Amino acid sequence: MISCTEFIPFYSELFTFLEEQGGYDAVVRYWEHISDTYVQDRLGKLVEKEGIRGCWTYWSRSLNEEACDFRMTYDEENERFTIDMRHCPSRGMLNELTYMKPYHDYCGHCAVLYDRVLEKYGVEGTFDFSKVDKAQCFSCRQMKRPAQE
Amino acid sequence: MALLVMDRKASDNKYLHLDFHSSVDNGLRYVGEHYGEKGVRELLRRYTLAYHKPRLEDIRRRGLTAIAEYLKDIYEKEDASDALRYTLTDACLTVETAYHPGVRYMRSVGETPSEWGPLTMQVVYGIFAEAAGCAFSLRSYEEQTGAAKFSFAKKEAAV
Repeated sequence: MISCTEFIPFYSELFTFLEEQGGYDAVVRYWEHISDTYVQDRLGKLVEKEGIRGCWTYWSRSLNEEACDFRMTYDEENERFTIDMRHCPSRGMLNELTYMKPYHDYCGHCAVLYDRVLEKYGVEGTFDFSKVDKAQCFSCRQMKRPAQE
Repeated sequence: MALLVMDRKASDNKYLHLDFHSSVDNGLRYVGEHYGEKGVRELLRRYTLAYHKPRLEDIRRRGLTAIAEYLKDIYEKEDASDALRYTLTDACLTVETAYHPGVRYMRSVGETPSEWGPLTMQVVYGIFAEAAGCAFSLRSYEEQTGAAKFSFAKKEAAV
């Protein structure tokens, strides 16, 4: 058995394996595949039903189950959802497994997996991945506004 | 208009995200579809040698006891201690699991696990067994629940 608590190093090795087989494009194709077949059915359905508030519903569960150290906000008026990840246990685990070489763009999967889905519903994302070496990141999702005339 | 804020520390929650079982399975399924059984074996081998490196060193030092302790620990973390029973002697570790926590979870949310559950055990535990100077034997695996019977036996005792 690979425990769900051992998933992160498995994921990292999976990305490394795929890149060795078919380059970085093969990794991105995998992320797109998971986005289309798995994330769409979960996050996508919530956002389809609730609008951008579906992001709040989705991450309320997963960030708690992943025991993240975070601050999450949802601003209904401005249709804006943010996650300030003060410590991501996934990235943190990889950083602590110093005997393993983490996949060089491990955190890249987040933007592809989720935002490929969110874009279909008019939600655009911006990210700050500059502190992933400290297992920290910031993401902001907001409904696209029509251009002002 | 609502302004919602959620602020959590890591210590507020237990680290147990069962969806990651689905994510492991999705990864194995994808590799199986694109690179065949050979690819799945290779991925599992690399993962085991990389992630379990300190554990394999421990198993080389302490043998079957280290494997038994690992299994106990991992089933506790999964809140699935009730699924695990084992018997440990100097020559053999015999294990019986009433269910696989990942298979149970996936079925509970309407997902069908891939075909790679038994191979995962054979590769990962096969490497554990090798480190202990043992042979791994998967005696049974029940697809619906992931219930399994398996053993790690000293090679001289397995003859």
